[in-house]
Amino acid sequence: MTLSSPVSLASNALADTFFDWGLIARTFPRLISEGLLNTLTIAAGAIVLGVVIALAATMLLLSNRWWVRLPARIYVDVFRGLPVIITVMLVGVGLPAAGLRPFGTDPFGYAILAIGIISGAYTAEIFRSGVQSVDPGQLQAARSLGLSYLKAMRLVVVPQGIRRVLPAMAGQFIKDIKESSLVYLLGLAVGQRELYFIAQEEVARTYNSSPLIAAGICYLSLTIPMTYLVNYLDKRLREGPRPGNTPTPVDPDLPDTPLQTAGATGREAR
Amino acid sequence: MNPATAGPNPVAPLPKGAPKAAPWTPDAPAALQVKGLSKSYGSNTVVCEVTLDVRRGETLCVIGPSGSGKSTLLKCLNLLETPDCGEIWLGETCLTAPRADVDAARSRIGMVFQHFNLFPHMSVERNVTLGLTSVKGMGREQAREIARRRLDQVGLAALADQRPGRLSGGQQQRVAIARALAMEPEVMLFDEATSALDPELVKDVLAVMRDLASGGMTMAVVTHEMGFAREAADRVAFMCDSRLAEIGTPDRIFESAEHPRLRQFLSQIL
Repeated sequence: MTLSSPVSLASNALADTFFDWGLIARTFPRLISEGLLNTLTIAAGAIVLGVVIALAATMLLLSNRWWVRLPARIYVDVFRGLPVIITVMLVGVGLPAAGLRPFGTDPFGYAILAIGIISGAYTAEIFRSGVQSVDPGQLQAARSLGLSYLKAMRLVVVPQGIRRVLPAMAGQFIKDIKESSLVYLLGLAVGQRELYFIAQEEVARTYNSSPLIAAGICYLSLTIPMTYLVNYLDKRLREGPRPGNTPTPVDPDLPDTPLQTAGATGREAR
Repeated sequence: MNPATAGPNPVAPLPKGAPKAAPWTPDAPAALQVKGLSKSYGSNTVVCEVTLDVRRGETLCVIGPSGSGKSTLLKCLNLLETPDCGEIWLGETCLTAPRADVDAARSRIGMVFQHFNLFPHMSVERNVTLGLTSVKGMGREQAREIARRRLDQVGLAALADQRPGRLSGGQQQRVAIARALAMEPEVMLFDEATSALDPELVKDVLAVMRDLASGGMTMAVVTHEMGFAREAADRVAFMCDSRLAEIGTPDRIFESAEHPRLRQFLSQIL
């Protein structure tokens, strides 16, 4: 194969267009100083808002009464079913156009609200499946102590349900970080621009797509550590504190190996 | 000796026929009364017109074949299952009255489940203190002190900081007993507390139950442990086909049963 073969030309074009390392290096300072913080702010705000909405929606979705479940079910179905870009436009452009301007003309607030609403719909279904997977005996045991339904759910059932779905939630959080890029549609002001917006600006200025790779590396620097952090948390929560002071299992009534994550239902777990 | 590896400390099995601290008398006032209680699931009647009482300081064992309604009856007593009709009285409080404070009543009735139902996301100690802090409004320190005392009573004080998943089934069941006892209940309900345990672990749990019985605790015990029923019960009730078929002293039930189904049942398991 010669250097001028079609494959070689395509390879060179790809490298020139996306992997101009000099341009990538020049883009990083602005991405890190402005974009990373804004992306983190939008994603963190959306995640917190999404979790709050999801907790409320989950409680409604778990109700025995259909008319209590109905509004939550409509919310979940609509915002899981709509393309993200449409929801971002509906919230970021539609709300102000309808005269609802809780954040004035600041697109940053609408961006967080839009991603948070979408995140809440997905997270509610994750929570619901987690809570419903908890052994019904847990609720019975909590109620038998005299806890009200809400207290039993809050202190016993929901925490267990959420811990069971931590890996799925990590996936959702990663999705929120990535979807924060779509808020560039709302025309963020100077100083509010997130990773993708800045990369797009650099692409338009240099006629080269390499800044997108720089932005991609920044996204990965957020999402990959988050995956491992959540997996670590998941492992710790399943196993409990490190067994530094676990008594030596010399008694046949003590387990040989510390395991058995939860529930302790069924026969002996040793 | 490591206390964690010891059996239940102050609750060593009592010699057969050991005198009770607070002997039960047939004319003791009723701690728990059931009048005409029925429970159905659709067209399937599980408990049919059961009337009985558990007198103060009494150990009442409920025996019978699987599916006879024993566990459902027990769960009706603290309204974990809602009876279709009938009355349940805890002392002077009618639990089935329309405006009865069911949560408050449940905190006066301890319950131990077949599958322990410990809260796996909490330490052993927190399992015991949860009801004290969240139902009785007790301070954390006072609750911890009570928890340590109750755990010591069942021989597990050294495991207070462990997660339930690190304990064997026998230990988990003893923690469940400590959790119920911490609430200082007027009545304890045991729902086949040893059925999910390997045979060699049953003895420690039965030792704790015997100790409670001899200490004058009012107990309703659904069990397949005929040795325990014969030795520790003041009265034994036999259920079959969803009805209370016969009730009497252990001697009468085991030596001169009248009901043909009871004779058949005993001949099969003794």
